Amino acid sequence: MDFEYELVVPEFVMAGLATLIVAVALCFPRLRQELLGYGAAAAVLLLLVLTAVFYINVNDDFANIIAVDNYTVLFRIFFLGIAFFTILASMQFAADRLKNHGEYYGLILFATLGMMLMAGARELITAYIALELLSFSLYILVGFNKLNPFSNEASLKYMLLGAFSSALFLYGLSMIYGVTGTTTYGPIDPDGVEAARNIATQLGNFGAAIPDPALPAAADVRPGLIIGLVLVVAGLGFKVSAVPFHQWTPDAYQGAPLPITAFLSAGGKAAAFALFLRLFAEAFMPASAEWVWLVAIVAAGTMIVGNLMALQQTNMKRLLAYSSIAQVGYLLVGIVALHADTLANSHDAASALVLHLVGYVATNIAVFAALIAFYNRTGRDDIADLRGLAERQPFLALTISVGLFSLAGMPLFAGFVTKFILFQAAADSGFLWLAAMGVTASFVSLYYYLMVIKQIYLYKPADTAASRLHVPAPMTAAIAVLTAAVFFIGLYPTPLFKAIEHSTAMLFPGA
Amino acid sequence: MDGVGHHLAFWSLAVITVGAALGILVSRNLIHAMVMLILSFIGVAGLYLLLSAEFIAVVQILVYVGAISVLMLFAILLTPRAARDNAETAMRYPGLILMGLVIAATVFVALETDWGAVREEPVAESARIIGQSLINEFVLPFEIAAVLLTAALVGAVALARRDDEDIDAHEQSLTLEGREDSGGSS
Amino acid sequence: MPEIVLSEFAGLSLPDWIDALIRIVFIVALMTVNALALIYLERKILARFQQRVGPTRTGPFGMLQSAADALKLLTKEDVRPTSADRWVFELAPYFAFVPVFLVFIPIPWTETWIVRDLELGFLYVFGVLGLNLVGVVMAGWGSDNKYALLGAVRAAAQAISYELPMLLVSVGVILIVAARLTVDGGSAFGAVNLNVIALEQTTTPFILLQPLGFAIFMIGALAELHRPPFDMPIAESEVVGGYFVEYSGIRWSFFFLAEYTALLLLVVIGSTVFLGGWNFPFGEDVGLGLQVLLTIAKTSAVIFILFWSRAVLPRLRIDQLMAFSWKVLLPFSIVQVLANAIILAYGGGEWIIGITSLALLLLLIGLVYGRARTLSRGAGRSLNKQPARPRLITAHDPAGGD
Repeated sequence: MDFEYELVVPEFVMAGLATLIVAVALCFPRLRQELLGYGAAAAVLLLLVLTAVFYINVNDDFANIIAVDNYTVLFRIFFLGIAFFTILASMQFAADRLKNHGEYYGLILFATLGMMLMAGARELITAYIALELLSFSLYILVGFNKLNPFSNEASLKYMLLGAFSSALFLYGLSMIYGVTGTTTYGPIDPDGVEAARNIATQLGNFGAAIPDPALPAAADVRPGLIIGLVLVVAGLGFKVSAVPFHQWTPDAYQGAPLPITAFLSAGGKAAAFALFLRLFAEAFMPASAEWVWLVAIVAAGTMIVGNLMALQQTNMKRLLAYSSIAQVGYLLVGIVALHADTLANSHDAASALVLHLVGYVATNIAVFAALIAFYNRTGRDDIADLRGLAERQPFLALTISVGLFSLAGMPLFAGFVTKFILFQAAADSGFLWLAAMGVTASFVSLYYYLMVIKQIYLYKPADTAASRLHVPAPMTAAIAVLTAAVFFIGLYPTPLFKAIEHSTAMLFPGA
Repeated sequence: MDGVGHHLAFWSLAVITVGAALGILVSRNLIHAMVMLILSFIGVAGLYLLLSAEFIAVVQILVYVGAISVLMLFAILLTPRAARDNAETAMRYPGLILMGLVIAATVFVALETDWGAVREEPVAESARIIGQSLINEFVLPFEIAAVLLTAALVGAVALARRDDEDIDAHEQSLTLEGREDSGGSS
Repeated sequence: MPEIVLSEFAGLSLPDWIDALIRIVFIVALMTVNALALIYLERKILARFQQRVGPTRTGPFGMLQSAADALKLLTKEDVRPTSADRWVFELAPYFAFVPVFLVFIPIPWTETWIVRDLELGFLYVFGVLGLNLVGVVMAGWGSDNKYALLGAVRAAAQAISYELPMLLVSVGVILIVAARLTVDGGSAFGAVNLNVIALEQTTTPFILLQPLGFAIFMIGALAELHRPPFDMPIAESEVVGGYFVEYSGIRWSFFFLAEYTALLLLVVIGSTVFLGGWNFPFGEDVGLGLQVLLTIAKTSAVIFILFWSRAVLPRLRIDQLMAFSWKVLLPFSIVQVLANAIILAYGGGEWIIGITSLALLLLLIGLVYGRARTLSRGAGRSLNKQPARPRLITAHDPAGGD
């Protein structure tokens, strides 16, 4: 068997880079710690550019296990961007509050590698191992602030529940394998060669007018398939923190070092959704009637519970945790909307989901970067501590406000456009009730976002002696870029949407 | 796969596996639970043997019993007050009901589904087939698993390593007595 | 591959279960005789090293001493501490004993004398042998005795640490066997079969190709067996008797039986993998008798070396012992495996492997020797020095320290 290793060069480079950073930190303990961060960020940026240059429209696959199509490449670029901004936002924080910088940056890169592989995997075992690579790195990063008991607690909770959910996911995968006898997702690999045996084809009798006698009859495999799907949804639900599997989220977000909270809420979720979308669109599409109600209920519950719980939070990290749970609810609507009459509608839903994901991640990292800059100076993260931030640091105040408005889905900002397209896709697919619920939930969310903005703009600083806060130049630049991106997506989403549509087309070869 | 011997072996292994698993739940003593867990692992290894997956069976023993269980036992031995029994919990009966439901659902699913066995006769030289798949079509997952282990190792060391400043900070909070205990290993 | 079939041997054909029964009885007898003989021999040999004569009274040359001891043990009261965890305490000896018993299955005593010729024999041996740690830990915990617990923790730590280098150097041998098996496009399946490994050594035993491997394997075996200089888990002066300090009578003798059987088994495996087992130097055609003799001779020689090391080497400290495995043996064994893999993959001759391994072994010896010299030189001087980290004195003085 000959392999096209050149297709997965970015992944290999990433693994090498992560190991290299750990090794450099180990061998040169006297090296200035900032250099590690700058080096990692520069390397990631370079890799991002090179990936964009060399891999767009490649459309091939590695042994039918990793697809390197536009969908993968889009997410590769996206994840490398997340890693870049996370490392940039971590620099000051890590220097002040963390030890073992080499391992810290190395694990961020390992996690990013896991994310990249999750987006590309079109085989269950590979997807699972990539997911575990991401999860393991995150368990450790969440507990990286060793001497902080909250960090330890967060890491332990996250790890125990994460291990439990991985087991559920794996058990679900084994059921799917049992029913279909294969672990490959879809029939057509990008070469156009028919895979010998694959999940989508094996499930072909679901919803088919004339059953194919060569394939397992739908009625015979339904119980096993449904329990498998329930377990897969539960396992992935844990990873994306959908209700009722969300309990770990606020604690993990609060205890983790702030940059890692940002990484967790952006990268972890985005990667889980990249896997979710490819798995459900490529493999489980024929049986979509079997899982759509399950996901719809989870989505509705997530939107409601996330927003209602967010109303009563006093800590900024916990607020953002519940806000991210609410956002997961909206994103799950996109998965539900895959179940449509025409393939074109499914394609629209997938594109809308990815667009909202990109908008949400850009916004969330912007908000978190501003919070990190604030936290670096003050060491505080309660909502009440933001009081009078507009006077102390107008730039951060503006960024946080822009981000929160965007998360709430106000016009002008990314959140409005992306949500609009997402709910429209849901309505087109026949889930008007979910779209209506999403819109209502967005209005509720406006309340708690506005409470924060009220603290920032309407009150004087609690401590009158509080001076202006200094924000280092690289941080300012990073925040400015992200805020600009939020505006850009909000005002002119067409180029991004076109690119996403082009990439998600890979998931629906017939459309 | 007929014959009295196979049935006898299957049922006795099944009883060992499930019985030991129940023992883990019932026992309030950590070490007893661990011993039960080990028995259960051995039972599962036996079941793999019956499915003529010798390699998986041996690896199950080598990894789960020889390494993981011993490490867990080790951790329990090093934990202060590990000898105490676990307390009663109010979740006992709800848990039992839930367990009953899960078992019922699993049995229903197992019996009702057409599992479409891929092959009937035992696979000869399963170790060779596994080895060849790992370096052929599954080479990439195999390599990702290696990266995963590296990441876990790096992370575990980063978390477990005692930095000098940590030790100083830690010692500040210790009594004279405790300090003597922690001194030897650094 | 012909197996030992006692029924054929006697010219009869017996049902399977009687055949199995005969083999089990044979193993049990071998275990008992082996333990009795080894205990007697160890006492005699140690006595020689220490200018004594050892047991002389019971039977000719004191040969019945072990039997008398065994009789005494069987009739002794089986004491259980009141605070012990009853089930764990009483079951522990069996958990320690049964795995060792099971290891007998794939051992090739001669070409055909194998209880059952397992294709995954080598993996099986290490998988099953690892189980007896569970018994050791159970004994240490169940006795409710601090010394027993410490001994068990030490035994577990030591066994886990030394199993890794042992397995890795054996992988080095397995790589060579696999390379030979695949030379004509054959399948490498069977390279972990102990008998196949022995069959490959008709002309050169693997000790010549893997001297480092043999050294590490034997060091690991010493540590696995808790024998001096690695007998920290049962060191009398530190943890009284280790994990079986509370045991007496028949249960205690189970531990002893397990220990001496494991000694025999590890040595036989070591001599099969590295010394050519029944095969070298006479080849396959010499008949059963000579093969048995070869096995016995090689085994006895290695066992004698193990007894010898007990007589002349001092104990290691527990932290030195762990550091030696993780920081010295493990890296060396990894380098050995990598070197073998690279040389074989690029078609280098086996003699290159031998030279590499020898060079690594010399490097290892040099390292250990150099380290020992620095330590012994430093020991005299450091008496006048302050301890490196005066913890107690500077406890309340933040300015103090190194």
